[in-house]
Amino acid sequence: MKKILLILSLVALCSSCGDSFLEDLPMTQKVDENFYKTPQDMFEAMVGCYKTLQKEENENLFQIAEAASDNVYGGGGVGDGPGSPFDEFKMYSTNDFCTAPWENKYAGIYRCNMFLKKVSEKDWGQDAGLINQYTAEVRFLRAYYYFYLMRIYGNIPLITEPVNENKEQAPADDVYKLIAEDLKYAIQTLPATSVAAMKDTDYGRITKWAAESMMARIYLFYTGYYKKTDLVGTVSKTEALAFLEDVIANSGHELLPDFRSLWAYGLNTKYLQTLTGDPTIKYLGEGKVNKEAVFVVKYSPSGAWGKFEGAHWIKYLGWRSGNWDPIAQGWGIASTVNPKLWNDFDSNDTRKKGSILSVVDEGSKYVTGDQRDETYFWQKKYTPVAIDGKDRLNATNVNTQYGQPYDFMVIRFSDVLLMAAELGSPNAQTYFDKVRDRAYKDQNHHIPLTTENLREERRFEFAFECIRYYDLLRYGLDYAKSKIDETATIYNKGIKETKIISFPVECKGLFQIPYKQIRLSNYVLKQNDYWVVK
Amino acid sequence: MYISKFILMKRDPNNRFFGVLLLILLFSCGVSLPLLAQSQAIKGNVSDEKGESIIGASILVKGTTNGVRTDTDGNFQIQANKNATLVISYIGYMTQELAINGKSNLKIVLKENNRILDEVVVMGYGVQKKKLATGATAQVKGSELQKLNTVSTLGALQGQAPGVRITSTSGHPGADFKVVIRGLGTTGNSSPLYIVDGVQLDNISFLNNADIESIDVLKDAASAAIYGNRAANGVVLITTKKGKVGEAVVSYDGYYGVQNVYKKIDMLDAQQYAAIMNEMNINAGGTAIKFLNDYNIDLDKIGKGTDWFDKLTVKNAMVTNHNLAIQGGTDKGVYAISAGYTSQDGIIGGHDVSNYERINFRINTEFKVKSYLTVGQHLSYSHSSSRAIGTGNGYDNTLAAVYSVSPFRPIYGDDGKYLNSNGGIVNGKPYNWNVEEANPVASMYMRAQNKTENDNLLPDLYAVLEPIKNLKLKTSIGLNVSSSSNHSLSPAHEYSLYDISNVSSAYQSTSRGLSWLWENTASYDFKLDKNAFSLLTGTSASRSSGASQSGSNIGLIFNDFDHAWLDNTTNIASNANFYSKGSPWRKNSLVSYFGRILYNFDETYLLNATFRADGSSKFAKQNRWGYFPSVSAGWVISNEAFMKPLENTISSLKLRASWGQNGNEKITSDAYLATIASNENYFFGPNDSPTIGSYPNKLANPNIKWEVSEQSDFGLDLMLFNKLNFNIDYYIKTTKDWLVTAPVLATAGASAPLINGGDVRNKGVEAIVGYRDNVGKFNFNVSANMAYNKNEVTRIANADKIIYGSSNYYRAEVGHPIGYFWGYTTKGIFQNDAQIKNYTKNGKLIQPDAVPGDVIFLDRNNDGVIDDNDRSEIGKSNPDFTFGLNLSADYYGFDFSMALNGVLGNDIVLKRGTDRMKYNWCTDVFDRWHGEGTSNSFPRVVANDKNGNWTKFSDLSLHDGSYLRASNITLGYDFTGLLKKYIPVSQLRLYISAQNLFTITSYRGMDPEVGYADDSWASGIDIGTFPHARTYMFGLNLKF
Repeated sequence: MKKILLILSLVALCSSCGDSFLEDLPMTQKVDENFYKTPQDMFEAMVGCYKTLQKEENENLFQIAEAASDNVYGGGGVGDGPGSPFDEFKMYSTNDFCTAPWENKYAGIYRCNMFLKKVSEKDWGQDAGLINQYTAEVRFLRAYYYFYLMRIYGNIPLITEPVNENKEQAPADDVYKLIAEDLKYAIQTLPATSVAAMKDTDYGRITKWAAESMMARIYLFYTGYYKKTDLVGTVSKTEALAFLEDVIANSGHELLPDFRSLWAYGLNTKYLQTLTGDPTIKYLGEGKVNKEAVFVVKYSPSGAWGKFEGAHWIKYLGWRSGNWDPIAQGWGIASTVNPKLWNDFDSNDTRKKGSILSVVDEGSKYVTGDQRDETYFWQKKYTPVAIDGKDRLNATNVNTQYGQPYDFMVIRFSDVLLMAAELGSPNAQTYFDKVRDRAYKDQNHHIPLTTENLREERRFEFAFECIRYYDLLRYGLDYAKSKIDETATIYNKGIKETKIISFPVECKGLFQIPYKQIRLSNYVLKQNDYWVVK
Repeated sequence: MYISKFILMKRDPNNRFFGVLLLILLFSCGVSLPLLAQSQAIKGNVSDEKGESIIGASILVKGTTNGVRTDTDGNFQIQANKNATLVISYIGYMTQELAINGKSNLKIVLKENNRILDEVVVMGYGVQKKKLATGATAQVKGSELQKLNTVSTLGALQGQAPGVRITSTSGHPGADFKVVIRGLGTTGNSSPLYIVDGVQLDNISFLNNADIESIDVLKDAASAAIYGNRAANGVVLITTKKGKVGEAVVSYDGYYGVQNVYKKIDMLDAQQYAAIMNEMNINAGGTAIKFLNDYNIDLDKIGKGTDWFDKLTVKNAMVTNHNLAIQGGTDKGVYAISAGYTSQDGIIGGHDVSNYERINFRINTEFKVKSYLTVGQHLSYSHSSSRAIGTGNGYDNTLAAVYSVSPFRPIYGDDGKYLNSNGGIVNGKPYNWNVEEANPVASMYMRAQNKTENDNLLPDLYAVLEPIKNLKLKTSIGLNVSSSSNHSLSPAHEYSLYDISNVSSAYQSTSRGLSWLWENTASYDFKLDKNAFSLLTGTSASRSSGASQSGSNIGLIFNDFDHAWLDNTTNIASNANFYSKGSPWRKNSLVSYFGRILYNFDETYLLNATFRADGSSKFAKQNRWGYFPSVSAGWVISNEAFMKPLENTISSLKLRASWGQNGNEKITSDAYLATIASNENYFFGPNDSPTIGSYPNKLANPNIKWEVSEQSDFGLDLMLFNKLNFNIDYYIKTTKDWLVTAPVLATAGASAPLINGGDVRNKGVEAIVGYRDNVGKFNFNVSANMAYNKNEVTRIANADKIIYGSSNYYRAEVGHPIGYFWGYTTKGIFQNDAQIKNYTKNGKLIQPDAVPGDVIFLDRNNDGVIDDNDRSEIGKSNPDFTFGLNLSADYYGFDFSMALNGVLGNDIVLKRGTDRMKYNWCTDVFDRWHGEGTSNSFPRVVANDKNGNWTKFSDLSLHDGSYLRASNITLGYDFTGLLKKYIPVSQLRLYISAQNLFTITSYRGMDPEVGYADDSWASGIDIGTFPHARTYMFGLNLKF
């Protein structure tokens, strides 16, 4: 029996390899415990926060804001189901039609919160200066993501720590308070480096100028939309104007000579030169040469499916009619232009044909296909680009579906000028004229700076740039309704149809909180007015 | 038995048998000593109980290699010592030992080995008499599997064991199977644990049916509990053939068959299609389409257009199998060696497009090296290679395109190349009917430019030490060496607007892995009076590791598949088509301790208890260990004295009950960690050069622990008249702390962690009825099995109690079966305007966009709006019943067998592109609504489906998936009786066989066996499935 026991215990011993045998950490990936240790880690973590800028899917702020405005219609394919809820303010189903922005931007906020928490947990010693700079950029990004969400949803939970909590929606003022404080920190912390002095490789990073301009934009939206006099007690009108004047005076940002060299169709040089009649003009939309861009979302042609290194959403904006110069095949979403806009443009304004393609004027090869909301006017500021009848990216061996490489200019210098004019700069008329002079390529089209003139100017200058809709909302919901409501004539699959767009004032311009999130929160999250299923 | 005698003898040197033993040892050394003087010629005859002589029975002098076979009259003659013992054996009969005792003429009657209750079943770490088993297990003999002539073992197992539901994911050669034992318990990995000769495996596709001795499926928790850690989804024990004592038997088995499509889908031809397209357009407010003017399509000349399905299929695709095996041995050592070859071509595209090929080798031996020590080994090697077309999800599925592509489109353009639907030239004019549509034939050939090769080497060694009688100490170490490689070509092409690439790229990948398993057990069997005990204790440790690498590049020097290797490229550009990656596999380590007591009193009262403790590397330190107990009991009522009067009627009757817990840890290794994604780039600066970013992409959950499935089972085994047997089992299986990725609020900011987030309950009944008898020379055997299972999710630990599927058709929700179909209910078709106007709530139209001919959706929540809140459970992919029926009979040399299997009570989503303009329709569109009273079930066709007739997922897309399939029908004849005088063979059987001769179903898709869905926990989404073939084959079994 002893023998048996001995053997049994030997057997047991042989296999009792203990806990070290069961340890297994990943070899090709960091985990929470071994990250956030060095300034390099923090730099990477900051870039991780930037990454969310690129992550836009179908139904992103830019498409939503344009479809909702009086600029373009929802579009898409007739076979893709009902029309765009953003265009027609109709709830076609309880399907989560407004999900992606919520999910993507809260992911960005989580990364920012995690970054800020990890920063606070360590004394960075001599690296503190660098870490503060990163912190300022991250706080800008957090503010931007919150502003992004506030514009679509209006009522959102305010989360400032990286925790998984089921929180109620916060009062709008609380969110704007955080936004204003984050931006203020960025303005105070980021160096006042002019564009010329900036390193090439820093192009795309957030600057003091970007933070100041963003603050002004948010100030204007907040005070207009919520009918307040200052930005939650943090920024007054004077301060907002001062930020803009600082950008105008010190940033080195300026308008490019020709409006049309800003947009990606300019990559088709032949097209750009024919359009402008200028054989020397070149595309200047990207990199430091684009001194007009104050804050951009960077995109790249590299990358693969799901990486969001290119802008998937720009591909959606292309027409469904194949590749012919200068627009390449896309999905026809949020790009068919309301003929009103085309008609309202002055024909001497270079921005007219610089922003809109008229199929009648330019499009002998156009095929309607199963396009919805066709108007035969297409926006061309942000679309996939075709050269010589081929998708430009296809020619460079890039899968065009993986995204377009054209940067999206969130704030241009012309906006800085017009915002400063709106806020009552002593140079208001000069700033206003500057923008118009560039648009008309002469100084013969000056008009007085009145409220309505400024509003129209912004409409022409920033069409298809995710600005018009939020301008309309801040001018007042009734004003917005007066501009948006219409009985439109459009073509679905080439068949003429009438659709009635009626802006429901009770929605306050906001859209649906994703149903899935409401359910997941066990109804702690409340649906926005108008979008509640009755 | 003789082995144990042997040991006792050794302990008594004075035993008079000691001398004999020495002699036996001498003989077994194979030394050709002259026969000893006492040796004499012994004659004899071997017959069965009915007096039929047995041909080819093996006669062996015990303890020697000296053996002969009976001739065609059952006679034999052998030289043997008059005190020797003969061992007489023949397949299908019980082996007999007979002492010569000086006789010179022997009459031997072999008993048929058909007494089911004397059968042995395989259990974890041992075997057990079936009559003493207390768990719910099902055994399928390898010989039965082999008869079904399937390429894959799992294919043969279909319908053979109740409660084991096996569904092929497609009819593609070499395709995988989904195996679910007693209902789905998880949305994670639900496949059972496979144990082949003691080695744990995740996949058994490399196995050769001819090598399998038996498959035992452990269904209840108590039977599986000895494998505690990974047994929650059941255990499949596979025992490969071991040599038998006796003269060597050489066998050859082979078949050759041809496969054909048995059912095609009926799509519209060009004329019908044109009519429907017109109708769709007109219904949308447009006019008739000008086919000739606008699209250069001349309907007068085009005829029926292209029948795409026809163009994809081939006739008489080949399937063949050859297997050569030799087995034999002495009481000192047994061996079984075999080699096999299998090859199957697909019925879609044929050999060049879809095929599967496999080579198998196996050597199993066992030696008694000392009186107290036995050592043995298994060694199996397999190599498989396959070529595959796109199956699976809609994006690269070749067959899915058949449902959509228009019959207008020719395969080839004027230039003789595959026609580009985006402006390719046909009859001198550009083709632009639908610039988006795929060319299924082109994409089939394009996507088939790939080859996958797998190697599996499984060696193991074991030693059993028996220091005293019935105490066995066993140690075994087994390896699983695997490697796989793949290379493919993605050629430059332009087939449609979207199916386009202007570069050719080559892809190559390799991986290799090694896992080892070391197990040590000690068992001791003893009896105290009528109390029989069998004790087992053991330890187990295993680890798997490996690495994989893959890469892709463009700029090929040779632009064809044979040259599609990474070095065959000139370009190393920074490009999405150029990449290389590689990583090690996660080390998966397990340590286990286990013990078991089997007890019976007089083989009447049975009690078993098992306990296992497992530690796994997949959990955080504090939750690594799981403990899995089980108990089971049985009562053999027929052994009781009070049953004596009935013993001629009730041959045996047993009641069983068991309870136990099993674990599941089939989760990713990082489940408890918060991982940082580090390959997320942003692009600062002018050159679009990437700057690396990192972020936490998953929330951590250090608290996750083992998923536990707890199961109770009650069973009854009854045998009447020794002929009619009946088994029934009832079970309740509850999977607790279900390992699940339950969605979290998006505000959490990273992907949901795995949590122990739910419970699933499966309840069911399984029954087998079997009857075997003979009428004179006519022997027959009928066996039917049936399983009923009800699946219900009882808890999901997040607020909305729902887990969403990757597609919007199905989900998991408390109170419903896992993966139930979630959709709208229709209430017929609006026949006229009045009906639409009357369909109101509070004076508002419920379906304001509807016109006559559109579908009426049920406003389930009665809120006046048709939206997601009106969706409900409209069906499920898991059947209520699965069943199998096996018949076999033989008469003189003829044998006949038939295997049927089927399912009842499941639904299939036939996913068609009918919501898309220009997609083709099945011919059921003829039944559409086209005027009041024409249809109340199929809506009108319309180009802009504003009502959502097809875009809203409803019961319109749902079809009954019940079917009954004749999986195999075989007729054979054994020529041995006729030829025995001329050739020395013990079997020469020829047969013809038909697989899938008929399938009875109301399902109108190609094949009702639809395993596919976007998630592993769902199935039954038919997006164009590689159909199962009908196969006719003939074969040969030869033994000598």
